[in-house]
Amino acid sequence: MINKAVFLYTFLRLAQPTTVIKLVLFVLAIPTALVYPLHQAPDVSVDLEPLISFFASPVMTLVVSFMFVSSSIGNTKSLDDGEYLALLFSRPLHRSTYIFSKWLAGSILVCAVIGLQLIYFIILINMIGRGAQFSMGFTDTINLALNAFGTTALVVMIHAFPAKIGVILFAALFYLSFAAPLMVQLIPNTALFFGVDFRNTVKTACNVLRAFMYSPIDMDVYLSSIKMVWLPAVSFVSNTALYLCIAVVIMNKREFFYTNE
Amino acid sequence: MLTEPAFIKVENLSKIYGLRKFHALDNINLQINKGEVFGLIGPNGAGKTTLMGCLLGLLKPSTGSVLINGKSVYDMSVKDITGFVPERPHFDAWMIVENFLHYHHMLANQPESKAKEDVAEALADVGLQPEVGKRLIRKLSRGMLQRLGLAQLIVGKPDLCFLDEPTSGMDPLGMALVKDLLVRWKKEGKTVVINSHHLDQVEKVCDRVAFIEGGKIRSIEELTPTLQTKQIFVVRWGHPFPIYETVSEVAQNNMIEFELMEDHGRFWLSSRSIGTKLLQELMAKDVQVEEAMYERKDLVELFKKDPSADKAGSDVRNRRKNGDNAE
Repeated sequence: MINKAVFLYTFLRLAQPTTVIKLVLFVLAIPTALVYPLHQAPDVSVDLEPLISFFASPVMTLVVSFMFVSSSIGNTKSLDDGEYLALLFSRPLHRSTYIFSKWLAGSILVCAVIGLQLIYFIILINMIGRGAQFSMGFTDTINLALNAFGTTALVVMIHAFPAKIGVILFAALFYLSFAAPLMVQLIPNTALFFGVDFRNTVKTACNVLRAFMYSPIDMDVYLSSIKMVWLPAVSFVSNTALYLCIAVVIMNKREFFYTNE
Repeated sequence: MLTEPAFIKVENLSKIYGLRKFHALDNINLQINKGEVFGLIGPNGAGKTTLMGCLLGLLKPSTGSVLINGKSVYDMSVKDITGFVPERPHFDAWMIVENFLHYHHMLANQPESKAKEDVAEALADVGLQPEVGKRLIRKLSRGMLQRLGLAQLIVGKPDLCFLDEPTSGMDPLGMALVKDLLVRWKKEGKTVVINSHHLDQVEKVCDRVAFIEGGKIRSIEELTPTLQTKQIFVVRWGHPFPIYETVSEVAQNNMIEFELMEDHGRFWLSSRSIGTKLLQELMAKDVQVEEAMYERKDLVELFKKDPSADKAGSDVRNRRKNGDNAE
């Protein structure tokens, strides 16, 4: 399922000087931006707990995944960043193995980058004497890891499509899933389509679409609730599996050879 | 007597690209034996590289099938024994040469304990200094990249090698290196499929060549010494120009194909000794020979002019024979 060479060389790719500089700046920038206002206003009491949720959120893992993982998947265009996939797939390497190896390496990378940010954030918080207001629990760590694996699978799926098609498709569908329900509100409720109020249908379709593309997981909900809530967990696992399956199907369909570029 | 089944078997292979239904390959049938060095030749856009893509399982045939050792090209046991040198050496530019070779050593499922040794050996085999191993791929010249392409094939230790224009962008030393490697692999019993325009080097090691044009195999020839040494002998003469019948008689007596113009004739010879005899006989018939020289043609040209390979070529010569030389 996992190819050691692909897995290890996905990490090695980060060792390029430009990527290292980008990584260092990114790791330093966000915690510094968050802590600086607190340092400027020492008397103001602030609840720091939501910041942890911010670091572990799918939005953050998606941003990191796009910044540091995306160009190493299925990229044949850029000579500097890309891989020679025609050569790679002439080797005994299943395309599914390539996808799973990239996903695992990418997810670990995302966890590591956000983990470094959190460590730096904790150091800064302690330096300004507010360490007591902040604690990171077990569930936060699990949330970070799960969201990293979920969103990296999404990024892998997007980049399994040729060129920028995946990114454009994802952006369009994501926008549509939020914008369409708002737009149908503008249509008078007397407007029927074959006798059916299609506004509800559109809203339901958009909700399903949004749930497919954005399925955050919060372990606090499961651990704190008395009754077990299965649906979000099932949705998260099935979405992640579906992203990877689609990525494998797309990669298997594609022909990586210079005669058809 | 039982004959050994073909190592590579291509049946009714067609490849159609895009919405415009461009037929890159059209009903190709081909068999390549184990241990054979097989050349693919033909003009640009003939379909040679597409055929190689299908043999490698990187392009999906529109119809037909490719079997290697009786298995599908997508079978991992086939990929295990396969090596490929691409025409475009656009290797992962961010990698260091040694890392790149180590990466391909790992991908080819070679033992990790021998990685360092194999990488050093591959660099030496392609004539790259050990210091080059520490350089970034983006810093290499085109010729070096071409050598690196060969090195990544060597680290995989394949039994079946596909080489797409391996001498493209190489200096004469590089071309000689490719030829030496081909000779070595042939001795080692590797099966090699090579697509190259520089066939003056390659033809010496190929057992057979397929001439491809317009997505079809026009002919497959064994590179017998006759075909390899087949040359065009050009004889120029002065006034009075010989009449067609005189030259025709001499050529036919020596079983030579020819093409006659007003002030010169071109003769397709299978050996140089025939050229000497031809000259002697022409002069005996009072033909005023001013100049005689060999016009060395590459294999593609020979295929085009060889009557068995190209009917059109024969038609041209027949037209000349029928008196059009006076034009």
